[in-house]
Amino acid sequence: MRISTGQLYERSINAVLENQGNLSDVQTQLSSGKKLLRPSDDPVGAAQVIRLTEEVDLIAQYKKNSNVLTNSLEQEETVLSSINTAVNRARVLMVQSGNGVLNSNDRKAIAIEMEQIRDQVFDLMNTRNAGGEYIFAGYQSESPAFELNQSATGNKYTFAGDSGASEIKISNTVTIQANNSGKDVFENVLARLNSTITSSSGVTSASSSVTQQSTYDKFHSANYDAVNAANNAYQVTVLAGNQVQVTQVASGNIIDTIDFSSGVPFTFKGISFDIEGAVGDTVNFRLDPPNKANIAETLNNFVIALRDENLDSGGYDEALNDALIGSDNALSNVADAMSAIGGRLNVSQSVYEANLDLEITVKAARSNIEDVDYAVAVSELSKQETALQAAQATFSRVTGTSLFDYIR
Amino acid sequence: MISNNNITRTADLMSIARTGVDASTQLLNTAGHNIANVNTEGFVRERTNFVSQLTGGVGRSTTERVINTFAQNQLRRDTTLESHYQEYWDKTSVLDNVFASEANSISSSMSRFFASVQTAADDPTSTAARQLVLGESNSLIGQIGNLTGFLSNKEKELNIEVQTNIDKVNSLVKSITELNAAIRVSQANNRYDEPGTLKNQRDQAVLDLASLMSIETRDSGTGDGSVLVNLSTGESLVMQDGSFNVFTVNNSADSNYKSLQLSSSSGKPVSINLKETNMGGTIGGLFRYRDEVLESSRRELGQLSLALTETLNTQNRLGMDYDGQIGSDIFKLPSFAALNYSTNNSLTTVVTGRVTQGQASQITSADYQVTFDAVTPGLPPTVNVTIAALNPDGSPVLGVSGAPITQSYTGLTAQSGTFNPVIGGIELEFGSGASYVAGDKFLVQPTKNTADKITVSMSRPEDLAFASPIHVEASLSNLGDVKLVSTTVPNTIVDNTFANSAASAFNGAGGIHSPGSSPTGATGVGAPAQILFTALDEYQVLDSAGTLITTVSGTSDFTNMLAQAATSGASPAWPAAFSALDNYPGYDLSLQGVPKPGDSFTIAYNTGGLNDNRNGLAMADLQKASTVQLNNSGSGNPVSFHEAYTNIVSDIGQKAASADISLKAAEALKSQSKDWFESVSGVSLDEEAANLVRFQQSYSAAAKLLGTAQDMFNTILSIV
Repeated sequence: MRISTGQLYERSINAVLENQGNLSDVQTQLSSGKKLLRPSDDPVGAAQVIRLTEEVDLIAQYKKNSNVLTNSLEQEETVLSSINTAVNRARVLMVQSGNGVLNSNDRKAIAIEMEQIRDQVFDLMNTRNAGGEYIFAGYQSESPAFELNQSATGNKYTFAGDSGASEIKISNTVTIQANNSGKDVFENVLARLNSTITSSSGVTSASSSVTQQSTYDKFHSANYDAVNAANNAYQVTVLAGNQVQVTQVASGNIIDTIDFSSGVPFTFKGISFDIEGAVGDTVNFRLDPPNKANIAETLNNFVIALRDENLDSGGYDEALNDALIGSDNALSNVADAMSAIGGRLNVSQSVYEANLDLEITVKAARSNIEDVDYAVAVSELSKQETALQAAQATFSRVTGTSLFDYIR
Repeated sequence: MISNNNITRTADLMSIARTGVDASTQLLNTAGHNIANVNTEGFVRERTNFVSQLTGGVGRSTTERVINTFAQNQLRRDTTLESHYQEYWDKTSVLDNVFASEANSISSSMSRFFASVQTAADDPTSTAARQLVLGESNSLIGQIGNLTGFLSNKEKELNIEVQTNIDKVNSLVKSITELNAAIRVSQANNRYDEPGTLKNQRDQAVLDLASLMSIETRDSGTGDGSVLVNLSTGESLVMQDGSFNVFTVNNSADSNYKSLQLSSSSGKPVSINLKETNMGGTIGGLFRYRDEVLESSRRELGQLSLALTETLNTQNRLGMDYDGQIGSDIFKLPSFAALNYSTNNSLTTVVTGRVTQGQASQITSADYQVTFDAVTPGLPPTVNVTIAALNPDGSPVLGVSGAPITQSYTGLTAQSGTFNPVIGGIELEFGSGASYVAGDKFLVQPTKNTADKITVSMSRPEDLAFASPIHVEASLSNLGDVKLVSTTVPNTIVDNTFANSAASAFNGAGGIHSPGSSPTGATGVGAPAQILFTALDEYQVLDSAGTLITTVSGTSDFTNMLAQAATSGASPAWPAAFSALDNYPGYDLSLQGVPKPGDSFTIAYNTGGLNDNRNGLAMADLQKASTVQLNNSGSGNPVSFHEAYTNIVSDIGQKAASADISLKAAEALKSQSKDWFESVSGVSLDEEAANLVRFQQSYSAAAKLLGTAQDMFNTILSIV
């Protein structure tokens, strides 16, 4: 084949230029550590890298969120555990105060400690986090969760927040509640359920008290009618043959017939009746509407009872029962909340660990696509270098010969 | 001329020797010419040939170019191919590199933005975290602006480049025509020597032209040496009669979108519209890059930006901000003026478009052509229009069935301030009233020039609406175990006059409609504010004054309780005035569990709910939501923001990659055909060196002959 001079130069220079381009590419790969220099190097890979980077960024954020969540839950857990300890101490004092040998001065001494516990618990219920937010106030975190109004006629310690619970996202699919509203933990606690004698006819005396609380609670929750108050009215009628009959007033249904001896207490569904009367006498009683009282309220009521010198022993026992049942109910709510928090912390921890694993996997996947394999790149570099040197060396050899050199 | 009657060599030795010297000189001249032009671009080596004379001696020389027309044509075609891909690749790889840069990545900006939303949602009362969200919004918008600004500068550069190249084409066409004329004259005057230099120049001009666009050449067929040039698509550029056609650059409605026309130099009023992407060569490469890469990526970026910002705006409007107000827009989306076609009756009529609130997921990257079908004057005037979706190059967008996407609207109000929602998630304002004329056309480009005009309109971090405006509270005296599962707030539009049928129950003053202010009128019930269970499977919906709105019976499924009330509520039924509105009250709740009669739930404005992050979480969840249309027909499955961005990047990457492969192939082809051509027509210095020696010797020999003749003559003379 005939080779023109232009061709000779062009071929040689093209070879040098191409090798230089390849060498420069390998050099950029090595210096940047990336083999994916621009999307066109691997369009599909580039797309994957963007998505994987999004995933890495998200995981980083989820890890931050997890920390926020853990902090918030742990603070709440600490507060609840303090409340638990305090209320348990209060319960010990309650039991102690039930000892009949204590006089009113002894009760006052107990009252002083009980007041401290009440204030401590109230303070804990209004705990604020590092940002100054009341942690049990729900969404209304700028104002205290619980308020004290000494002159209120009903509950003096009342919940002022709402039931809102904010959630924190710790993975693409898992969102975990970060706080418990005081409404669920403290406020939505049943006070002791009770019944009241509303009227009687003919009897010499009639009194009642709930003595078997759990039996009564079961009956109350099955039969209490919040809509129609008339359904909560019951009547005890003394029958001939030493029996009493309990009927529901509105329906006339006979609920129970019990052996009866005047002046001897008998028990109906956990309510102990003490009735002195003759055949045909009736006593009307009702199921009291359930009240809710938070632990501060319960403790406060008991402090009042402890300080009340005029309270007779029956009244004091009622107050003690109210306090014991109330604090038991409160403790069970706190325990529920603590176990829920524990559960959330566990989930949060395992999601956090899953996120760490995922992060490693995702980063490895991304690295596989975009990071340079140094062994391959370095050997490629020396290969290209050799090729360039060869091209440059042949350039001078091929172009260096001319017939003109031989014409003299 | 062969003489047939006399074959005797009659020439004397002297004249034979003279023709020999002349011939050798001629040969040496040609070799010298070749050597001198070894580096001349487009030079084709020449050979001088002789025939011997019958009378003795060598005849007249003929100098010709050594050329293979097939090799030349092949080189020309391959040059076109190579320059086409070179230009396409050059331009595409710039975008490829820009999108590769991490610093320019909108993807990481979006990630940072959503991360800041999550951080702020973790602690909705922290002003610092809210401030960070605003900071990241600004940086996201800045990033989008930078990239879009870069792309729109690329379009401006491209237009200048097109103009420059077209000027080059026109001047090349003109010079080919002129060189053709010169060749004709020169060839007619000298039938022995080919006008090689002129032809080289002409061929070089043809090759230059071929690198700009795809052309075909033909010999004129009359032997006058001129060539005719036409586009590969058939249109003539250089014609037989010496006339030629020139290109003009034209604007359609979009003055930044140039198109080409061919018109005759001879003043014939013919102009032909050309399909620019079929042009081949550099110009075809430019147009191809514009239509396939630049315009589509600009629109897709614009689509992504509009969809992203409008989606975030929509979510923020559904929430309650730190001041306890219904959320407002975070971003200000630009409106876009539709472009007037030059064929319209009046160039002063205007059509303005903007993105319809809440329709982010309908936005496509298509352009829309608005054609007026009828205009009815009146108060206000109404218009009938047909709207067709167009690709960047003006071709119709095809729907799923393969038919162009068009939609006709009748009786649209044409007055300033009234926006009519149309296809593609946009709404149009026909501000010129009755001044339109049926047949007028406008081009609406919602996504082309809008991305860099989006601004962050929110300046106070308190305005970020992380809370939900509705709060449902269970009554403390509830005895059942029914719990709140979720509240939804799909509508927060405030209009206490209910002129807007989209109005919600929010009164814009930190509450929901109380009795007397709701759509039911002064004596009617208020918006739903309480759920009261009256039986295990029956609940009442009450307003804030405790007045019964409706009762739902026989259901144990308490999801979307207000929606159930609207469809199956009885005695009384759901108020007709509520149903008459699009989405009233605009909120709903779902409960779960077994209620006890008497259990109640109050629904109220979330006053003071500062620690609420429900809307913030919803905003953070948008990162993974599928809200962007993937194709411009609006019929595909939507994808997430990051996926949409990924698609833009990988689309450009894939085009750059295929351009690179095509370019390498074209370069290989060109180098082969250039080899072929050069191997025939290129100057080889070694060959010329050999020739030089050879011709020098023949010259010496001829000169020696002359000497011999002189010696002979002298010998004769000395005898005398």
